[in-house]
Amino acid sequence: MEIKIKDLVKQYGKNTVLDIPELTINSGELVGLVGNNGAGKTTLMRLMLDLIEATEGYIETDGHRVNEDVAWKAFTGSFIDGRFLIDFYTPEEYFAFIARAYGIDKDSLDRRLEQYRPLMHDEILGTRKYLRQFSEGNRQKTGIIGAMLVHPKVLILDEPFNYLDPTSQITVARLIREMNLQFGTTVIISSHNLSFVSEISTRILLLEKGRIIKDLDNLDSNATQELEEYFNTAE
Amino acid sequence: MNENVNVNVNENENENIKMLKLLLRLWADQKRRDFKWGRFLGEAYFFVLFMIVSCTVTFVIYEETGAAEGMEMVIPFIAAGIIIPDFINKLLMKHDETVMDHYLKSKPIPERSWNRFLLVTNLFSFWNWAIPVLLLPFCVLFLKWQLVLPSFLLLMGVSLAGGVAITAFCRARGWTNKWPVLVAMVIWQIIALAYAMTVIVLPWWIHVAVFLLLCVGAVAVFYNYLCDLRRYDESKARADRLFLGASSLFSMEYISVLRSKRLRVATFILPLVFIFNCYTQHINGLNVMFYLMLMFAVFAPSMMLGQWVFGIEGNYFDGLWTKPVSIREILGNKFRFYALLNIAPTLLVMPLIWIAGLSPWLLAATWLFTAGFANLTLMPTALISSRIELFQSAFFNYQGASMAVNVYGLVVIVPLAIYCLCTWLLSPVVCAIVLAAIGIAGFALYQVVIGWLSRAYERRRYTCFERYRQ
Repeated sequence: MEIKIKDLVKQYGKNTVLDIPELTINSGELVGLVGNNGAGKTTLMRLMLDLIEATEGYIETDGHRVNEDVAWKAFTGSFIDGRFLIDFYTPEEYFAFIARAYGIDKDSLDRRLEQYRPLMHDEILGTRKYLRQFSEGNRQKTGIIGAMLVHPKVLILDEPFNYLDPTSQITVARLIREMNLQFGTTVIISSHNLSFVSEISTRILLLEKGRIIKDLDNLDSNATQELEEYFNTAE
Repeated sequence: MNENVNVNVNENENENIKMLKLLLRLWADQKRRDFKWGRFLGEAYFFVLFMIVSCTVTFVIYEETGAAEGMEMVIPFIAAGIIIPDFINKLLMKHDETVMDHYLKSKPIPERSWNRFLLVTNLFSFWNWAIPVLLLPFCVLFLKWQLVLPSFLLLMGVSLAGGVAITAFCRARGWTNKWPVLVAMVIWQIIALAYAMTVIVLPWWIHVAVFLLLCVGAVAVFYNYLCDLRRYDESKARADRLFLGASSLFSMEYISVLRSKRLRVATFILPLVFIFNCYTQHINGLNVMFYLMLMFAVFAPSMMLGQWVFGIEGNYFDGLWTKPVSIREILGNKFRFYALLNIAPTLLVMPLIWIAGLSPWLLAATWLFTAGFANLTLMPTALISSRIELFQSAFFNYQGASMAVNVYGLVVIVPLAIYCLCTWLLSPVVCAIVLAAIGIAGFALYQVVIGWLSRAYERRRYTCFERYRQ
């Protein structure tokens, strides 16, 4: 699923927080968005998910403009923050709701959830706890699993490694890469964790004050050094 | 040694007072920064409406009875009489900060200072002033000027006792700790009523002075209980029941109500008040007042939830919008869910068919009218409502309210007015036919209305999303 961005601008008052004249994310790419706080990573993701309105320009997913057509929702999985979770649901109910929304039957859901057991660590399913009672880490895991279990053609995750213990971070990174390789999913993730992003991404976009200042091919993980140099000199 | 102990006690007391002042300053800062003119004017508007009603009723009584001598004898009975209704009112409306937030708890703020803070803030709580202020016109019109202030103070004393009781009730965890408050309220009510009767024996001034002392005593009792309550905030609640088979959008409607105490109270408890009124009102005959109560009873559950359509979903709308979920389907589900909700109070007032001779056709027509038409008037709040916190205690916590919602709330008057006019002007049979016809028309057209509404929502979705994030 190709994602095209054209003349995209987002302003809050007189402040331009995002300005991308042109960007194409090819089908099957695993794109890492990196940048300092306030660079515009989350804003870009919110625009891709039609959660905020662009001041100018548009985003197309598979040829459909995201703000004009809802077709993209059927093949997009995403998790940005806690507002994606239904706090009065248990994880089982939450996953069941997602499965129903995406037309996944119960057996398929159970099979798909099995592959996320290592990530859940027996702390999510079977606890009879509501999502609001979970720690931030477990809420993060639930959100990520909810985005991935639909086997999306486009996967958008904002800072998926936040709140996770080291083992879970490695597991999430592995699952994202496997999804990308197995299903050809176009993945866009943002993170401050340069090592994970460099390890799994095929392409890295470096944002600074709303603009893409570096578009790095990372097929051989060769963008790491350039990124480290950039962030070291940016202090 | 004794001197050292005295010095320590004084130092502790000074420390407590210092911390109390700090807490009050924090509280004042928070109130000042949360203050919004729009919300204040909206709340003031409704309070003024209630004051107008109070003044009007008082004037009417004054016109008919004149300023009768000895009206001050009624005041103790009024004070005693408002205790339980005031408690119920505060249970629904008053939102109390009973436990320190984590940023306070991790600081060296003594529990005693916090408890005193709770007591002092009760003095400024709107809901502790509401009923005494609403009764002020009665005091001013019917009493000699020297008696107005002590009467008002007595009403305030009773209200304050109830306010502190509510604070204790909210702070108590588990029914083992909540029951003593309820029992104490009943005992307080009995004592107050019994004492009120002595007004015919004692001189009024002495009676009121002693009554005030009793109020102080009641405040002290509830305050001491509040201080004794220990609250550990770790939530160990587990889902009683998993709704695994109910994963649809429709099931989300009732699951959210069942799992949010705030929504449960509003949806199931408040209508009971109106149902109770129906059973007491029919004694005066099946007049307009009775039918108004009937309409409120049937309408109440959906009216409470429908004030903020999408207020619940606002908590997770980002998640909903990014999934293949239809806004139209959500709105349609709400309409159907509200219709189902209206059935419960309808069934609960059914005995009035035999007790009071209520027409069963009119009752059925009331449900049809409410479910098919009145609920439809609520749906447009989807365009203007804010997110509501599902897990706060009082339903009318004004978080999420806006001037637009307050003003739109007046639209609810339209179905109520139509209903009252029909029951007043038409015979029961014709009234039932007209109301049923309107309701059936609503059911027939609701898909059209929902379709229009969903398109309107999608056009202004970004504004709505932004509102949910605040």
